[in-house]
Amino acid sequence: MGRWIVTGPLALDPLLRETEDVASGALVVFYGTVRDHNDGRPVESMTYEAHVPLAEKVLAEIEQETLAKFGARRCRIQHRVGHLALGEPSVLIVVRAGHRDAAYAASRYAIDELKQRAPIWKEEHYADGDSRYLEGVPLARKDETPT
Amino acid sequence: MRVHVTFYGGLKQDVGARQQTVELPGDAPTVGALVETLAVRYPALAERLATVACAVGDTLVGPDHALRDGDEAALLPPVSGG
Repeated sequence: MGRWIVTGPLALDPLLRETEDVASGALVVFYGTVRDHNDGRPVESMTYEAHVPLAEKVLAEIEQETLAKFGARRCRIQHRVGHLALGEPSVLIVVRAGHRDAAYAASRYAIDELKQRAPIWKEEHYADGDSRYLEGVPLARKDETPT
Repeated sequence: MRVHVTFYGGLKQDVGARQQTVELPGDAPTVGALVETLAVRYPALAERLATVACAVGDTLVGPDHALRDGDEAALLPPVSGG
């Protein structure tokens, strides 16, 4: 298992232990989980894939940004890849900060940035046997300023 | 010279394979030249190129980036993680 991209079930306890910090009074945990419908179609399962080396780099950068931009004290992000069933977590973000304002803001920033910048793709599998990659957000190419 | 290209997300369906090894003419072909070569070979891919990014190794690169023999390139369609 990698530090940011994992192939097995996401585990909260190791990230809680890793981020332990008695100077933090706020802990915010975000899970993204596989939902049973999208665009009116019933979803049976999902497959996630990642460009692992680039994704690890991007998630590490986002972790550092939450510390710098919001004064969070700890941030860990993990995203699972592979085939996931309904309800299973696909992404887990743990943020600790002195107080809740920073913790909530940092957690929101982390998931919003991940959705724009991480080279990860989701394919939905439908009850009728059809599968589809989601439309997605174009990555800002090098030398372009992200909008 | 040759580069190895991995097609992520739905691009593999446009190409019919997840990976291809591509021969490029010249000493230092650019990423732009690679993308043009692929667009000619795979018309379905050509339609998507406006929203596709490119990485070499673990770094996003622009069209002027010079490729080297044996480089591991990747075409990255619009992302949908989280």
